[in-house]
Amino acid sequence: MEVYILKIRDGFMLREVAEQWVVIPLGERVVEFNGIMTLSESGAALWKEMEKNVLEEDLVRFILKEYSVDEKIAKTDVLEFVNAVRKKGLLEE
Amino acid sequence: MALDKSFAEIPRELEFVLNCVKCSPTEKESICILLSPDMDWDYVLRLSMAHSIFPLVYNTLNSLDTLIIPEYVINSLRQSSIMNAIKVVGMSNEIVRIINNMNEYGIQVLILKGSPLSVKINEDIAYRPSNDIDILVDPLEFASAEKILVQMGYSRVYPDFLLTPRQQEAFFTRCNHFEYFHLKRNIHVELHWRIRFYNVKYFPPLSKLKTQKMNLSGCLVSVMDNEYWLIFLMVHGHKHMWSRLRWLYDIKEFMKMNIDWDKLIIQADISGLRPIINQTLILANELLDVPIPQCMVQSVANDQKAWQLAFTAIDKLFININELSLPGPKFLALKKNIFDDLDYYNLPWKSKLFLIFSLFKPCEVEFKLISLPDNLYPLYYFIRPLYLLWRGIVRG
Repeated sequence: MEVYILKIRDGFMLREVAEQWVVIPLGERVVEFNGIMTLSESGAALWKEMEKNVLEEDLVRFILKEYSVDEKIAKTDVLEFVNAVRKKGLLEE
Repeated sequence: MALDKSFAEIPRELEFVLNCVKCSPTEKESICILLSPDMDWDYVLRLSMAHSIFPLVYNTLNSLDTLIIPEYVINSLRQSSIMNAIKVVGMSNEIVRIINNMNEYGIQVLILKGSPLSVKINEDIAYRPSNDIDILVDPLEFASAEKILVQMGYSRVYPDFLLTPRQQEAFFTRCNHFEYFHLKRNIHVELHWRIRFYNVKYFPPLSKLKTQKMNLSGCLVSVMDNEYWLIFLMVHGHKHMWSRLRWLYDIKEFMKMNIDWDKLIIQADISGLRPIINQTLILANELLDVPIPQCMVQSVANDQKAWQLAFTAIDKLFININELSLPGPKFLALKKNIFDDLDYYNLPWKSKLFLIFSLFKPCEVEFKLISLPDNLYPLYYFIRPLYLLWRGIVRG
C-alpha cells in the first residue's frame, strides 16, 4: 500500500477575510487558480495541519483529537476534504 | 463659514455610508439610528463600491444585530471584500518581490500607497481596495527600473508603443508615470518618476524626500516620512476631487499618527500647497468629524480658497451616484471638461493659459497615429491641431 504525504503546493496561503477562511493564490498561481475556495473552521484547521506535510491518518487523528466525532465520520470528512483540495489542484502530486 | 447648505441635501444612504466610515463598528448606536425599512440598499451598495469603502461598510453592517439589512447586501459586500483580499494580498507579495529585485540592482524605490499605507494606519492590508502598485523612482534610475520590471515579466501598457528618444522626452516633460501589466500575475504597476500636478509648484524628487522604512511581510519597504506622506495623500485626493471617500478615510486614520504639523506646513508652503492642506482638513472635519489640529484652526478658518475647494468637492460628492465617473479626472478627462475642472482647481490665470496652450503640444495620440523619426518631430506641431480639428468634426 502506497503512503501519500499530503503537501499543499507552494504559492497558496490561507487567510481569514470577512469572517471566512479563504485560500489565496499568490504570484503566477493567480491566473491558474480559478474561482474562490472558502473553508469552514474545521477545513481551515485541516489546511493548517496539511501545511506540515502530513499523512491522511495524521489528519484523522487530528480530527479525533480536536472534535468529538467517531472514527468513521472523521475518516469520511478527511477524505472528502482532501479530495476537494486535490480537485482544486492545490496538492503536490 | 459652514457647509450646512450642502449638508441639507445629503441623501440618507450617503449619510449612512459616511457613518460607516467615520464610526468604528463598536459605535453601533450612531449607525443604527439611520437604519430605516425604506433604505435604498442598492444605492448603499453602489456608494460602497464607488467610494472603495465596501470592506468598511461590510465590517460595520456585519456587526449590527438587525433584520433590516437584506441578506443580499451583506453577501454582496462579503463577496467583494473576499475578492479584494485575494487581489491585494497578491499585490502585497508582489511589492516585496519588486523591491527585492530593485534592491539587487541598487535601485531605491518608494511605495506611494497600497499595503504599506494599510500597515501605517494599522489596518489589515486585506481591507484596503487597491487597483495597482504605485512606485516612485529617481528620474535618473527610471530606465534601469523599467528594465528590471520587464525582466520580471511586466509589459508596458501605457504608452503601449515604442517611443523614439524625442517622444520619450516629451512624455517625461508632460507625464509622471508609465504603466505596466504582468499577464501571469494579473498585476498593474505604475512606475512614477515624479509627483506632479499642475497646481503643485514643487514636490521633491525621491533623492530629496525624507523617507522611513516599514516592515511588509518581513521586507523593509521605503515610504515617505509622515509629513510628506500626509501631504502626498492630500494632494492625491485633491487631484481626484476627493471622488472616493476611501482617500478621506486614509487621511482620518493617518492623522492619528504622530504628525509634526509645523514641519508639514513649512513643507506645504514651499510647494504652495496650503489651500490643499486646508481643504482636506475641512473635508475630513465636516464629513468624518476629524478634529482640526489646534495649530491649523486659524489657517483653515481664513483660507477662502480652501473653503471654495471644499464646497466644490462636497457638491461633487453629493451628485447622483449614476453620474459618478471613477476614477477621478486624469489628464485626458480633464481636457474633456477643462473649463469646469479648472474652476475646481482654482488655478491662477497664468497656469490656466499654460494648460490651455499645452493642449496643442503633441502627445501620445499623435505619436501612436503617425510614427515619425526624431528629425521630423516638429511636424507633430502641425498634426496636433489638425487631429484636434478632425476629432471635433467627427464628434460634432
